Amino acid sequence: MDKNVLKKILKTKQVKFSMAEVEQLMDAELEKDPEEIDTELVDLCLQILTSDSKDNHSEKTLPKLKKFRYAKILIAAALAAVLLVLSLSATADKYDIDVSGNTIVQKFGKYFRIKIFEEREINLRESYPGVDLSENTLPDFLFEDNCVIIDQKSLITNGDMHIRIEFTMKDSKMNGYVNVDVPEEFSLERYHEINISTKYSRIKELNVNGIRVFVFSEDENCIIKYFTKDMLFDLHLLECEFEKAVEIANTIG
Amino acid sequence: METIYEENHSLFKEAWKKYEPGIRKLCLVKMQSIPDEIEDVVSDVFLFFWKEIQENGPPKCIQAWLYKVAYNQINRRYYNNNRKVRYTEPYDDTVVVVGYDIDDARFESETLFQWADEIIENLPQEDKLLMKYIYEDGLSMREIAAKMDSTEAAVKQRHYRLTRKIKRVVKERIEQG
Repeated sequence: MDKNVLKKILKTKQVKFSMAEVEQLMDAELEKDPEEIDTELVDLCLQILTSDSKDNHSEKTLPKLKKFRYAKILIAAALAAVLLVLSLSATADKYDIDVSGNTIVQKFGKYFRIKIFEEREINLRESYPGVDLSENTLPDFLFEDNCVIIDQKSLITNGDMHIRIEFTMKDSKMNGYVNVDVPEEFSLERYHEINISTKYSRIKELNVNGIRVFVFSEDENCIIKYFTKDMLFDLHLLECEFEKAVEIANTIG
Repeated sequence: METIYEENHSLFKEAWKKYEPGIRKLCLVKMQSIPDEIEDVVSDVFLFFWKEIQENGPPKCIQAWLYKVAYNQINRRYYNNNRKVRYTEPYDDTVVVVGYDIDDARFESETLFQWADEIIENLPQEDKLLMKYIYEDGLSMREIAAKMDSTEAAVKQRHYRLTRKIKRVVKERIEQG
């Protein structure tokens, strides 16, 4: 190999990829340690995948996403989260952690926390005085022994309280979280509609003990949304079949 | 004199302005079917960043660090139990032509080739072999994939990364004079 090879390489102006290959190219880059990631390549792949590059490739528009009306709630919940937990992230990549799939390792500054699920540490019912987090407002399974509450966070912004409860199950793969929005003053104007991605192919409305409950499903991921006692509940169930989600929804209230 | 908090605050604001769009795009690509979760991940990433600069100082490459945290967060949240659940629309068969964002008019210069041997010599053995197959033997990607016990897509991606890397090395050499 000589200078002619280098000349050919430098003259290579473009390569044809399928969109899936571009995503693989990006993923391979993001699998590396931060010091080795070629950020320009990641930017380029993202431009292609989101079709906002002007010249190098053909146009392709991703389906438009419906904006979730109360996305700010999620931001608020996340803001609270970081005050409590720094989960394993890029900073922890230097550690060799070999634990079972059921064990959660979290990094707090200079030490790790490993939860081993020996006992329930969080009592939902007594967590927030004045806020009814009980079988009256939540599905029954959250209060059963095989459900482990991993974490619970809250934040108050502009008088509204935002609570996030993360859970996992001892006897199944199902896990997920509940976002609870407790507005200072409930108004129909603010909560008159629910928007959700069209990816959720199944939608079912239930009337459970007088509460209108909506169940959304896509593969094994379901969302249950409902209002009760002037609070908005948004229950995300991962690794959960639609039928199971409906069964869970029927235990609310 | 600026306090450390003020310095960190400026750094955070600058990083948010520069890199938040990219992080959001990554989330959009990976989480199309759950748009209501995107804000959550973007916020988490920058909150981790704030925590990081407060505790350990700024990462060496902020953008790469943010991308990595975002990628980890997406995987941790949505690709549970090592079972990769796809949260995006399957791609159609659109073929995209991907260029190189580091091409340079100076690549035409003959004087560059003084570095050819050294650049090629420093490549890993597998990359050298790939270049031989492509540029000397003229094999197709499919033929190379068969020879290297790989897939055509993997070979194509490897070739792209390799050519990009070489273009970057050459560009850096030009800039260093």
